[in-house]
Amino acid sequence: MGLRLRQAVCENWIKTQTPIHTVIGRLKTANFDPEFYRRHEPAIQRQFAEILAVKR
Amino acid sequence: MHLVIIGNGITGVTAAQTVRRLQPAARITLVSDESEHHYSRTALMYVYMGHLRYQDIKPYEDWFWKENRLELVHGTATALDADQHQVQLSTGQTISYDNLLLATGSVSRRAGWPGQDLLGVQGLYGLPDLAQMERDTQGISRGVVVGGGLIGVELAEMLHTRRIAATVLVRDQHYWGSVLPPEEAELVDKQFRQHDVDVRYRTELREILGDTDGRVRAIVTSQGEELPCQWVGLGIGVTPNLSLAQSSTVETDRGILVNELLQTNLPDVYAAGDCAQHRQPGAGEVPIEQLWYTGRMQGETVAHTICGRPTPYRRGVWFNSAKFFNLEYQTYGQVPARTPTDIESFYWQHPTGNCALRINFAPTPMML
Repeated sequence: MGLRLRQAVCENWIKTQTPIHTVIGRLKTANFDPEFYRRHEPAIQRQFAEILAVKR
Repeated sequence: MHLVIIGNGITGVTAAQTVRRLQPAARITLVSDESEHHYSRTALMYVYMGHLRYQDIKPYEDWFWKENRLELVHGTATALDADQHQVQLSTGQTISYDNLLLATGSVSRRAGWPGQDLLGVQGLYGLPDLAQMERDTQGISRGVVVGGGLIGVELAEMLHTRRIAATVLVRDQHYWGSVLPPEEAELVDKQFRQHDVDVRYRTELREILGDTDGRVRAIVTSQGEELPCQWVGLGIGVTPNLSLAQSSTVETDRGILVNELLQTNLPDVYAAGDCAQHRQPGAGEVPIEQLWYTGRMQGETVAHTICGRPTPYRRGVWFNSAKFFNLEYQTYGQVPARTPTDIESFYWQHPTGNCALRINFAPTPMML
């Protein structure tokens, strides 16, 4: 929501069953707005890491 | 080869262009009763809102059709005679075909509500609907929109731009309950609130009340509340347009039944786009696809088969996009409203609530 991702990149991730770590780590390759990811990628990755920590 | 295509929406036009490319010598005729030329259906709302003029939503200049030898017939196809390979038109004309593509699209659904045929009650699917809405919302103060889906939010936005107060009735407990998880639906609800749209969740339409002139004066909700309004927009979805199909022996269910080559039961008769129902949809896919981009894919696919290159329709990874007021939405793959128990869901939302990202994945191993 409120983001524009590249269809080819997302489709490829789904088709090749890409590991979720790889996807989270490479979100900016899918985004049309690199500035957005420069600003928010750390927050997204931090939240993902926190969820993993809780699970373990 | 003479290909006759019924319907000049994205499916019919994509098929025509693809056949022209694959078979430069083919004769191609497009029949439509909706508009003289193809226009972009998904942009209809912007004409009402004054962002674009009608001529701006025609993707091709009017000379394009003649230049590409695509013959246009503006009329209604009223009967299909598959034995004679002929289509009867409302103009009295009869067209013979070698191959026929039914790309007749959809019609707006109506649920059989009392008062649904009153003046000022309509759906939003095509150009006649746009003209009707333009006429029937002039100078009114309140409209009621029925349906918590994509057309529902479009109609609310259209009314909002004309400063017409809008109430939206949504059957589910949150917006687009069959598709969006609650978090995303909350972001859409925020858009409704920011645009002063009154949304009534868990609320359905019971009946529409008219005045002595046969015009809408109010609706009654499933809770029994009467809401005065001068216009009612129906956004509860569309259903295949079968009016021509039903004049023939083509097999139908909810849509025109097709195999994976988009062939109907009749020789040399194909169906594609909104009006087609796949006899055997792929795993996790729906039999009737009412989307702009799948219409385009089906049109391109069926053109290959018509030109002697049999090509099964393969939808590929699910994709859809939409816009809710200022909020853009895109989805890839399967992200259902309720996450299945064997799937993990990662959801991040920006503190402003203006953007969010959800990624569903398998837990072991952790992959998409």
